[in-house]
Amino acid sequence: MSNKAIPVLATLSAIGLVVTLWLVFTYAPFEPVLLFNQKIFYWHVPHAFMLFLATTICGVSSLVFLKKRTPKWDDLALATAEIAVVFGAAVLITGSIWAKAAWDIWWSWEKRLTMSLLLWLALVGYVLVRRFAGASADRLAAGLAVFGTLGIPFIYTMVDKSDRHPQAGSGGNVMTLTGPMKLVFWMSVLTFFLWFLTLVMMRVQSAAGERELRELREKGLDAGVLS
Amino acid sequence: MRTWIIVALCFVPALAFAQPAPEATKRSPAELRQICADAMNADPTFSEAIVKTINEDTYLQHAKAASAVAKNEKHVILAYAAMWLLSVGFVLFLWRRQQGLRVEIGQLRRDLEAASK
Amino acid sequence: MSVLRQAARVAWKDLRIELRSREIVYTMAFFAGLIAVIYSMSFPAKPDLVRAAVPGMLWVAIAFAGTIGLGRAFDRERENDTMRALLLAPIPRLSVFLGKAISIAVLVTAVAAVCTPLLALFLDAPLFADPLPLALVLVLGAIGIANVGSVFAATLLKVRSRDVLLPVILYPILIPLFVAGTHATEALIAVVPDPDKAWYWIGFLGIYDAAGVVMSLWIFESLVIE
Repeated sequence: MSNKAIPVLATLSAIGLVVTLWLVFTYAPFEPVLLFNQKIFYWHVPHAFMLFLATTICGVSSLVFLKKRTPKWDDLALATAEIAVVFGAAVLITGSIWAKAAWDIWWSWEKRLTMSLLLWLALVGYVLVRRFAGASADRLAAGLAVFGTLGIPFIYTMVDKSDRHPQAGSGGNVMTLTGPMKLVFWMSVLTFFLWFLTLVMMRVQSAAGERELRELREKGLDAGVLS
Repeated sequence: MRTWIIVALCFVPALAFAQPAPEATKRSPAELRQICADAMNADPTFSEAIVKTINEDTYLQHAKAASAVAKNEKHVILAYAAMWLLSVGFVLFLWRRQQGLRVEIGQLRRDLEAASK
Repeated sequence: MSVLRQAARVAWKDLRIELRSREIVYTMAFFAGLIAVIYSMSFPAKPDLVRAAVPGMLWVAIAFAGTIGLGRAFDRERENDTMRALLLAPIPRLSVFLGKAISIAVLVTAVAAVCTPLLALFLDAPLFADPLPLALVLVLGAIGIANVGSVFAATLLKVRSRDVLLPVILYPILIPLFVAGTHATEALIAVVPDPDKAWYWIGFLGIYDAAGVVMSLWIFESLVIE
């Protein structure tokens, strides 16, 4: 299944990307306050959605791995964690650039940026622990992911709710979008969701391959066949 | 004779007082505007100065808006470029791991062949 | 009930060792004192800034000292290889974990109890304006740190770079706890104290601790055991 799925998903996301680009620059209207730099929103927000999705999947998958110790859940957790780091970096960098364009500051402790930063930090920690903790790295990182995901509602409650800066994009909530903006936005979300799936499947395959190789080599060593 | 001259002389100031003072004539705003416009048009340098000021101001505003859009364009492009670079970077990372896997498979195969000889 | 009693016994063992040597308490207290001194030198003669920053400083000091104390407490087990003895003992694993968590909670509370007067002294901050709620905040914070910290410190027992990895793992998880603690402390020591806000954040801490304890009870065995 996965042999067919990856090229198909990649092609679909490439098509979606072209369509979205075209829509963003020709079809989506200007937002009255921010004008042109609001276009960043069509790239920035889907990445943020994918960051949250990846974090949640990582947390749940880590929990299942801890309980069941089936390797494929660990592969999924690792893949989603690395991809969450990439998407999170995209969110933070583009958010920073957008903030500079729209409000002339590089960073603010505004609720969405703060939440994304905190989640991203937890996942960077996951990747670091995976790399440097040696034999029990998978357990440790899984524990970090579980507790980190558990903290998401707490982080949401505690971030500074006072919107000190105007939120871009139609009343600050993507659910209130209407008309052409709504179409372009959700098209963009779909595109990046397909891209996200592609990346996850590729990374899971890669991790599974590495694990299989390790096990084969160990089997060979145990059987005395290899030296 | 002298008396007549003095009386005539006295009448002169009386005549001046007898004239009605030129009070502000009640004219409509449109009339007044017309008078103003005529005065401006009568002096070509004055009208030129006004037109020049308005044009410069408008030009400056247009230039400012254009530069704002241009700067924003730069930001939008920068943001998109950042996302592209990150995605491409991750794909390269995946590709490198794939290469590593291939090398390891080759190594394993060689080891197995060497061992089974 | 016997689980708890066994846990209390494990905790009492740890605390008795600590009471005899007082190693961790002395070193952590001194460390906290050093932090207080360093902080007081970072805001030269600016009383408003100091007052605004004191809650944060207190919790950063607790975070650092708590992490070091955690590492040290489990190091002791590792050095004397007593972890295996504990695991072999005929008591449920849960009691071992709970006992260690309780003893570390007590240690962190002790550290907080040392930090607070030191900071109040050096920074001239009214940290004792409302001592009972503040004590509650510190105890709840200590419970949160001890709970998550014990789970991960136990798992990190045999890992090479555990000193660095323990903060790397703990701090992202504990961020809501530190923020809540800071907000609560700040509400309590403000020029115009805000008890509603303080109790809101105390409630937040309580729920966070409850969720953390439930989660660690659920997964600690899968984490700690190979």
